[in-house]
Amino acid sequence: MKSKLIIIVSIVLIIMGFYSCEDQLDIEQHGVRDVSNFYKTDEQCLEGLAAIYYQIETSWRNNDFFITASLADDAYPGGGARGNDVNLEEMNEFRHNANNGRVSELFVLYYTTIYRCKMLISRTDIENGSSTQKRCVAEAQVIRAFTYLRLVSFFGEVPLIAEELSGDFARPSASLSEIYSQIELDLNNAIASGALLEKENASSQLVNVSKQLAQAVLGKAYVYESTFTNVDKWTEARQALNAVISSGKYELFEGDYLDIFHYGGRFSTESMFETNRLFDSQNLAMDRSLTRLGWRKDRFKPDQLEVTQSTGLTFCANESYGFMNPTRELYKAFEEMEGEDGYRLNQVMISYKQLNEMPLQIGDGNYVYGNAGYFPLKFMTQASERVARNTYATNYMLFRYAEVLLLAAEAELPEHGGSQAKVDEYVNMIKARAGIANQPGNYTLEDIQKEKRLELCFECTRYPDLVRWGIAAQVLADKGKQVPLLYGLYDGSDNSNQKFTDTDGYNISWYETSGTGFQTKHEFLPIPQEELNVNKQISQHEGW
Amino acid sequence: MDYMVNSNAIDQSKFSSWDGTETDWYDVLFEPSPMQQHSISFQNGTNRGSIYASLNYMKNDGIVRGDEDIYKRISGTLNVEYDIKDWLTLSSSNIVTYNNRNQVAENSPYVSAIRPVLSLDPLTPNIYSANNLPSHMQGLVDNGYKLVQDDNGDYFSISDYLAGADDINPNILLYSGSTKSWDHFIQGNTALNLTPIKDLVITSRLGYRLESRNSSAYQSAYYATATRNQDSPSIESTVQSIQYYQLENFLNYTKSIDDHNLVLMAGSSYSSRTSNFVTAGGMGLQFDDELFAYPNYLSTDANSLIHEGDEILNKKLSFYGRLSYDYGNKYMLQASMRADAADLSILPEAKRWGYFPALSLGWTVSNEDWFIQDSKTISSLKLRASWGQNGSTAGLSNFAYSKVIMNDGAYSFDANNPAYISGSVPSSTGNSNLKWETSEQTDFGIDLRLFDNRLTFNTDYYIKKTKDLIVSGTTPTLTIGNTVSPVNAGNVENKGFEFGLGWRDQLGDFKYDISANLATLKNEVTYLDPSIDRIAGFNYNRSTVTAFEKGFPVWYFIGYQVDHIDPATGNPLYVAEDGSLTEAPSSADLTMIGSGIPDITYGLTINLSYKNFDLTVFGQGTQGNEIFSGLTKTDRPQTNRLATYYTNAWTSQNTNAQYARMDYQESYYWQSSAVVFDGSYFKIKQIQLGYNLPDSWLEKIKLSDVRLYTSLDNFFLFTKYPGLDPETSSDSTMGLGVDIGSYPSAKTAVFGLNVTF
Repeated sequence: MKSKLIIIVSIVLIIMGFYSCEDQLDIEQHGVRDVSNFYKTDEQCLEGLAAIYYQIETSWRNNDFFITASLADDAYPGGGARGNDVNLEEMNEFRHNANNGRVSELFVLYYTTIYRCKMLISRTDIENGSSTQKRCVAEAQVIRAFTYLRLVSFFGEVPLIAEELSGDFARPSASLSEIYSQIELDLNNAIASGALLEKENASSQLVNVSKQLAQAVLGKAYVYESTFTNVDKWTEARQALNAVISSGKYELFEGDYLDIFHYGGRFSTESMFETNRLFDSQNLAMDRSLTRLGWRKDRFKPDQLEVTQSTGLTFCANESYGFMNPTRELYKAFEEMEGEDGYRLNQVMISYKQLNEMPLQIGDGNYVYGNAGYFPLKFMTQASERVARNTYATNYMLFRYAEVLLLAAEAELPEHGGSQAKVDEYVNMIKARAGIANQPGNYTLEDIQKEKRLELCFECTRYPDLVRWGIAAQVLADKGKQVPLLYGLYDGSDNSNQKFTDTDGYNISWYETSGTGFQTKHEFLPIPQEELNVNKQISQHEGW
Repeated sequence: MDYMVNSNAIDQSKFSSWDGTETDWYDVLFEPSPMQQHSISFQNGTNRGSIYASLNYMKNDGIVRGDEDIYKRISGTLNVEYDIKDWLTLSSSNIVTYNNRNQVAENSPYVSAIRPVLSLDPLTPNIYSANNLPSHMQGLVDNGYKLVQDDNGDYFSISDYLAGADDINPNILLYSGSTKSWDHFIQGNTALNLTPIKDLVITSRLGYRLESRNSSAYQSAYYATATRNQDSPSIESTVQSIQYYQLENFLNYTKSIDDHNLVLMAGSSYSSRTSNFVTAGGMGLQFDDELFAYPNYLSTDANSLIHEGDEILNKKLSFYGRLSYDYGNKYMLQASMRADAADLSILPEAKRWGYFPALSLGWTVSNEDWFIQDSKTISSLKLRASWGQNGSTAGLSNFAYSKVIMNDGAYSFDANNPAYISGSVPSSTGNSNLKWETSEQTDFGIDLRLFDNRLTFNTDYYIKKTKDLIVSGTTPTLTIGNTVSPVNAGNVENKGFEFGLGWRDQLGDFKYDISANLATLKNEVTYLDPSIDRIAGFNYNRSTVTAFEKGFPVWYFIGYQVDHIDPATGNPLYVAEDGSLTEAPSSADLTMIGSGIPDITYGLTINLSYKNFDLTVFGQGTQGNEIFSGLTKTDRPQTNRLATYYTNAWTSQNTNAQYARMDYQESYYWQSSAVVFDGSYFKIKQIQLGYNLPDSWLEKIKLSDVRLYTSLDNFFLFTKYPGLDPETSSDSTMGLGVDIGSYPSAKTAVFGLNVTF
């Protein structure tokens, strides 16, 4: 009996001892690699670089585009109805504050790109690295500089984070000159490395950022620094921008202007930096913001939608929400420059009068919110770009040669120490391509401002331009005080509920917002409240 | 209708074509539905062992019309126990289950078949016959759009009034797709009990659960609105197998010497779960028919391909011990300790162990010699005090603490060809200090029985503190550029009283038993890591509507406080941060506008029986909780709203109104106290009347027990909440109390017959 007992107890103890081995808990993680020895080989550096481009491709447009166009006098946020995107409406009406959700989204967006660049730059050993590794680092430097330029032009003073963060993550804001120095340092390093790629000629295509893009961004940074702060970097600006122009690697696109921004003209002769979305049904890197950029088609008479499509116009995508409609002021500026039949105007937008003739009419009793009778074409998601549900092969244009010419024109102004002949040459190149030939020249800063407003509308430059030219308070004094609701063509009828007005022949009910127009503090976006709450070293911009 | 016109959502002219239809969408979608349950069981035993076997069948056709919402379950149970030797017993319980379920989409702000019942306009009928389509639908048909038809060829309506609404005729979803799942489970445990010496029992027990899970979803092409449509069919199928087992070994030693009673227990447990799954699917089938709804029949140009699969392991190891001692059934002491270890996918190795002690003391005053033993008043009195800690890893999974290189997308550096390079980034910031979350509960209680045990009363005061709360998704700084690993961020305190009161008596053949319970709860976040200001919770209408913040209840509703409606304009006036009133609040004015956590929960049970009849009434309720009604989408102004916003709206005749004028458009309003309702309710969950056949009848038909019963479940609800059901109106932990349209608990009438052979 005793012996049996001992046997039993020992068996139990053995079983207990066997499974209580703690190393059973050491589970291995699938599908990941060690971080400490990454960014060491060519393949790893290319993967780190792909992650940077991929993030820009999938997530920049949703905030970068929407916010910068809403802040400027380019667009009404639109959508289905008021409240469809409260954050954008606040910005469009200058009612936004540090708690605005999109302010922090934009902030996070840029710092995410910067983080990815920083990991690649700081962890790759370029001293002993291969040419591929050197190139990956140089491209990351250019993109980091490009991103900091966005940050500093929309947010002003922000934390400058060049090293990897650990422990206490919070950093104070750097001064504008410190940030511009970092931007210029990154770009000069990248250019000097000799590792950046270049196009063979103007018609070859390049997805990667090029040496000329680095020079163009450097020139833009000098122009911005000269106007945003009180330093004179015009000489450096001219030098960098003229290097791009004289390289002959880029030319203004001579095909249909609208194609520059669409699948048809991807990586055109003037494209310097655009995201690469292939027409590939097996790789659906989704960017949901593209579905927001079609028109609000459900407000039109449904039985007319197909009729219009068959007119041959490359038409609007189906799954569309009607955000970002051109402002009445933008249309007026085009009309003043080009007339209502202007080539560029008709490539950038289409009026309801033109649609009405197709015919495409707003359904009875329906209205289009945030629309003054002008529907976008420039960035409107086209039906022909549809790869799959909610997925479109529309690249996001981040930098193109036209901007280089207009920045160079500004830097060449005689008051900045340049040559009037070059100003006229560059501006006339833009005008000629837009179908405005034989202009006298002798252009002033005001002429450049007018040209840039049209040529680069919706391209993230209008708002910082207004601020650095010192005309924001004047131009944006009444912006966002009213939002149009488009009911159709003005036919003299009235509905006491809606208070229709005849606005350029359209039946529009103007909704009065509580906006106050541009105030001094609006020169920059506020530091997000979320950041202020956790970062005790940072302080809010004045006035916010 | 007037509301829609007055709120600018729909123009008056739109209604000129209205034919007078009034559709009750509740009747269209829901129907009284039968539920059947049958079971048969067998039981037998000898002096060496016993056996129990049963077979169950259940079929529940949900309250949504038709077969799209149906649940079937067949299960078999086999339990055995057998004494192999005097000192060795074998026992085993096993259950085999087959489930089959068809589901309806619910609880999503974008896709729900349930919410349209509230939000659709009543002016549109459910169906139109094919030769009598309204022009807007005929136009779509003529242009080749695939509108959804019922079995008779009639078309389900697309509202002309709500063009652009996310909510569409629910039958369009029900008739154009299906979601099914079918699963097999085998679960049970088998144990050996050894008694090598007197007073010592050693148990070795193996628990197991094997699961085979299958699901498939099919959506055919359809068109309803510009935002609700799909131009090619899609499918998704998942096959998953899960093996779980747990091995426990523990010993129990019981010793009594005179008045000293001692129980010692010690043991260990090891569990392992392995889950393998494969999901395949895509958009585009060779032919749009349910017979082709398998990955084999995806068309060659199918896109949005889904091909997923992984093996997920989880393991856990624990050791535990407990000592219980009492002296003369008067003084009781219990002390215990457990050590738990989490696997590497949960916590880093250095922090994997958590140690959790507990201690409780009891004093049965009524067992004291000096206590008046034969008292007619107090039959029993006991005082209790306890303190203890528990550990939790709060649902951590998948190496959230670890910083590794993971994939993020792919990018082609070729402008025209797909030459993708995978993107790689660090997965998170990493947190090698992540540790167990501990909850510490302190409780003081009294148990009292009076009047010969007829009256029972117990009361408790409890404090439950959760320390080192594990929180994911925090932000130490927005400049960090990556996902932040979970941190032990804060402490939460819950405290309150619990009361229970019961009375039980018998008057001849009439027996009755009434009991009630009530608990109070005060919940507060007492500490939050200084690096975190406020943790954002449930997101609705692009805003955070619940938050976790120091000094507030967990996941309180955050929004704007409406002070009153301006009698002059009909605009709401909001309370600003500084206490002044404003028409245009800023985010700084966000404040607590409610909480889904009730102050008081209570329940009531009444059992009555007279001879062979019995009646049970069971109800429960809450007091002091609020509901955030998330039924109004700010981007869809044309959807119907709760009637109260219409009937109590400001008009030029009704200037002292509860709600804003109907054309008020600012979205603050739908994140303000105007959408927060009192969620208190009392619901009679069940009223059951039963009758047991008299023994004299049973003998004649050779049955041992026959019971007939009828019951009304969830039939009576008392609440001020204007939505569907205050009880089910909540979504996830962070969205506690946020109602975005969920399945109401069904009013069920049950007729039952139990027969025992």
